[in-house]
Amino acid sequence: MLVPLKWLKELVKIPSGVEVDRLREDLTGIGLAVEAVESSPDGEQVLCFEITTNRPDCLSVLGIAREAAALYRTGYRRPAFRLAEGGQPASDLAVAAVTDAALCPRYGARVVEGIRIGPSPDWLCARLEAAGVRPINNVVDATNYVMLELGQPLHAFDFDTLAGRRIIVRPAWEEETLVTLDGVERLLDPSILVIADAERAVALAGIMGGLDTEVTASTTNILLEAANFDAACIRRGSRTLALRTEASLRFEKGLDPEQVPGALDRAAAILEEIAGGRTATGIVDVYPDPREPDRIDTRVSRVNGLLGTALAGEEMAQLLARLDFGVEILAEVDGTGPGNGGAGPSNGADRLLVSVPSFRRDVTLEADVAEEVARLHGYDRIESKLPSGLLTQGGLGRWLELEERIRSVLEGLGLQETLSYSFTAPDVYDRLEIPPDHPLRSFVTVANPLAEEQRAMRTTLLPGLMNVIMHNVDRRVNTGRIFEIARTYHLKQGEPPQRGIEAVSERRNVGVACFGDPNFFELKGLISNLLAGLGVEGVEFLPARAEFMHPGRCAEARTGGHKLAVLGELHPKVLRNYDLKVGVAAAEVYLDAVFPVAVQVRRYRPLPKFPPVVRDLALIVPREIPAAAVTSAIREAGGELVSEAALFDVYEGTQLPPGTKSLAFTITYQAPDRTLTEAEVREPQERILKMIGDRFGGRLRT
Amino acid sequence: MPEQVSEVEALAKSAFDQVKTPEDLQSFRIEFLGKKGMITYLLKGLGQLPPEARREAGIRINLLRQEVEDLITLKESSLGREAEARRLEAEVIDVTLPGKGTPLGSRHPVNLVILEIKKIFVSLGFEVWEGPEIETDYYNFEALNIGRDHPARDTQDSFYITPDILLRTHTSPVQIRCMEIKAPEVPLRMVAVGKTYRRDNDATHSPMFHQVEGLVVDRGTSLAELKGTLLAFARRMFGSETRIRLRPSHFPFTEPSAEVDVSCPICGGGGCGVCKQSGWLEILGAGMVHPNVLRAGGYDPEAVNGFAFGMGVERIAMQRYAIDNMRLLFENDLRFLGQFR
Repeated sequence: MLVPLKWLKELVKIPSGVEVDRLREDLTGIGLAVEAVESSPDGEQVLCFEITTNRPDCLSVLGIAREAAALYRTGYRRPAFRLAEGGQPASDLAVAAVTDAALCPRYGARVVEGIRIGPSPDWLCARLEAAGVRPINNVVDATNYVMLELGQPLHAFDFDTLAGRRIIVRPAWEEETLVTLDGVERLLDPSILVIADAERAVALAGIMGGLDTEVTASTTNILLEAANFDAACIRRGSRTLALRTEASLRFEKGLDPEQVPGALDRAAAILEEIAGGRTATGIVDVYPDPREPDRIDTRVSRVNGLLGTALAGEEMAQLLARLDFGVEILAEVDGTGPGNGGAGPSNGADRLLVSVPSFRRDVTLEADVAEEVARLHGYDRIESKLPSGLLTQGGLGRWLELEERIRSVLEGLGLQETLSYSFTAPDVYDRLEIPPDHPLRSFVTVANPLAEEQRAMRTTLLPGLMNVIMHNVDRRVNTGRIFEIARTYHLKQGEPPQRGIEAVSERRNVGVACFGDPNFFELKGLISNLLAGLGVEGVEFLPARAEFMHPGRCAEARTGGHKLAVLGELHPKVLRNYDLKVGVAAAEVYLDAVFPVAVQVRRYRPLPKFPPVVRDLALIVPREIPAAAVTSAIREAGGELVSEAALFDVYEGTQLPPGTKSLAFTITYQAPDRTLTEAEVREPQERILKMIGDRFGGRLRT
Repeated sequence: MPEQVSEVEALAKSAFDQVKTPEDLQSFRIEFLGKKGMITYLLKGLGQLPPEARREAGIRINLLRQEVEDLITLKESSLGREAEARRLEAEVIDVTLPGKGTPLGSRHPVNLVILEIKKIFVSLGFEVWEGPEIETDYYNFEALNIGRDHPARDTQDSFYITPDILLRTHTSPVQIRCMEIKAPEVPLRMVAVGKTYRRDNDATHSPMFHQVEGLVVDRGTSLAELKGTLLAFARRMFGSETRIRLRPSHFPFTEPSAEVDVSCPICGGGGCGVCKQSGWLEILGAGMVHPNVLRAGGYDPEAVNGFAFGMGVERIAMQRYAIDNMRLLFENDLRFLGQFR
């Protein structure tokens, strides 16, 4: 909302000494945010307001003037003009009817005859331009001028084009069409309110006029409309038609029906002055149900309680009166009920009966009255104090603590945290070679994405990691280790999305990726360190398959039957789909599975009191036997004296029979209650060798 | 005999003066203390002396032996030190070569800021809550006093899944979910943190962004306590000299409502490029919880008051790290992320 300073000063006296910067700050301080002070084409100062949606009354010079007057206690005046109406009553010339007063609480019109269409005088053009409105002709300019000045949109019809000289405000008919002023033919439906004449729709109520009845160079008689429409109705119509105008922006926030006659008078007077019009006597006014002013029973103690102030009722009354609220101080003392909210003692009146001015339809509750009091009293004059209530025990909660722990561990392991969008392109599931009907394809779809590549909510963090890798490799950052902690979103299988929110589940994952020339074991080291860092015990890595992973280099991390993570080197065909020239090893850790097995506080295990016996053992086994199987065989055969069996070397080569490999272990024997002897260790050692022979056909390497 | 002792003593002293290396010292030891050494020889000769002379000579020879042994010990350690010093000199390395081990990773700047904010509010007694990102219209709008035709829906242009399910446009729905669980318990002090979504994409808007939202419900809490809480937060977050400024504003879910500005931590309020010469940064929206919202959460607005506040994390991160384009936060260029170790 642009307000030329000179125009504002016509309606309110700004105290001398208040320069524009101070004015800007003061108005901002009572809630009329002045975003900038600009200069109009002819060098006038113009205030640029950002008006909140609850204050359509301030989308006008008069509205701003009222606020400034309240602020500076100087009073405001309505624009002065002289209307020379006369002759035949307007109601003899035109008839207006409203089919649903709920949608159009008031419809007012004046008839102005003998107009000479032409350009507006310079002063009017300059003023419109300063306010950001393009001058068109004297009639249109007069309506725009009044809208800017008083906040009431008006529309001028060429009276002679209105069939039957009749106005009907009604919902559009099914399939009715109207060509609007912008030349677009619009298909209407009954949710849209129209202004019609005896035959057809001639304007979109509150939004835009029609082309057929527009004021043209040959127009001589006009019907000037000022009306009040239901805000929600205009808003819906404007959205349905994707058409927003200065008028609709005001109507959709709710305007004051009481301002209709004043706006008609003001516009007619300007037309008399600049277009030679003669105004017919009186107003055609359909206003079946004038609204009584709202009265809000306001407890002084409650207002003070809400604000943390100790204002007297009389002070509040004075503040409200400056904003044109009517205030009746009720002498009766209501006591300080539960609504007091712990305010200090209020002296004198405890209740105010507040009548709301018609242009402030946003004020309906005691809390709204409190805001009026607060903003005029000054938010900056309200003291700052820390909450005085009972102490509460704050905390992150276990989930966020787990996430923080993950960040610390992975940061320490040298990974960089990334952050990518929760939505992705539906075709990434193709790029990742995920087969049809796979659960990862049960994604939630955004109906109105900004771009196609943001249509699918991700079911895996892999697409985000891949995008990060692509972005970096494109910029010649060819190696890296990254992670992201985020949610994935899943449509429960078999549930149609119409099922509502219950059909959707959100899970928490950690995605980890190494790119450049990674191998499986680098990644496995990171994942096992991560799980160890979270206190997860008994983790096993078992060979696994995933469509997007190298079939021979993929594993699942499990503990106690829970799948904690999938990890592996990406399948070359996926890398080709992404046109990536570097290798990628990636993992997805399922936090919903990790959470219950992550240990927050560990228990200490007593340290051994007696020295261990350590034996190295190199075993030749068939190549395909997994090392983990040999390790568990050692533990099984060795019995409880084996405290550790650590693999320290794997050898395959010419010194061994074909199809075999050598696995070298360091086996630590330990008894909790004595120093072991050589003889005691010999027996389990022999059992181990026997088991290796029986189970795997392996033997000791000599 | 006494003459021989004096002679050996003199010999030992002059020979010791010639000792320069560990090898010299070894020869010296053999010459005097070895099996055939001179002092050993003297000791062996004691037996041939008459008893009265033997005692006196014995004392002298043993004193001499002790003296020589002490000299050797002293010399040994000084020669050892010198030798070690020479060895260490030779072991010089180029300390400017790079260190070993994996370089430290980094945290995303948005999460760094979130962590800071969370820590401050936890220390002020707030619980941190989360909620679903895919929300119902009820929790995202209706329960927050934003009806179907409320103009505020325009400024929160939403991504819809179905007409009734959307990606949450703010973290405020978590307020409702939290109140539903906690009511009528007071005091309630919570912050909600997380991802939010709006249909916007330019240098200062991202379709996905992060918010931190706070809510306090208690008997007798007030706008004054809102100011105090936000001032405490701002001083911890932006420095102890920070001031805050509340401007009346409008949000459907609070009444009274305020925009909260924080004095620019870069210029301290004098005006600079970061604050666009205003001296203030717009950081927060806040207000007293609207009675309808308290009711939706299960509280009686006659019995309790509430205050709430919300802030965009990206904006704070951009200001804090002097990042001029929001896209940098979501591009994940490792050269950018590596700056936040």
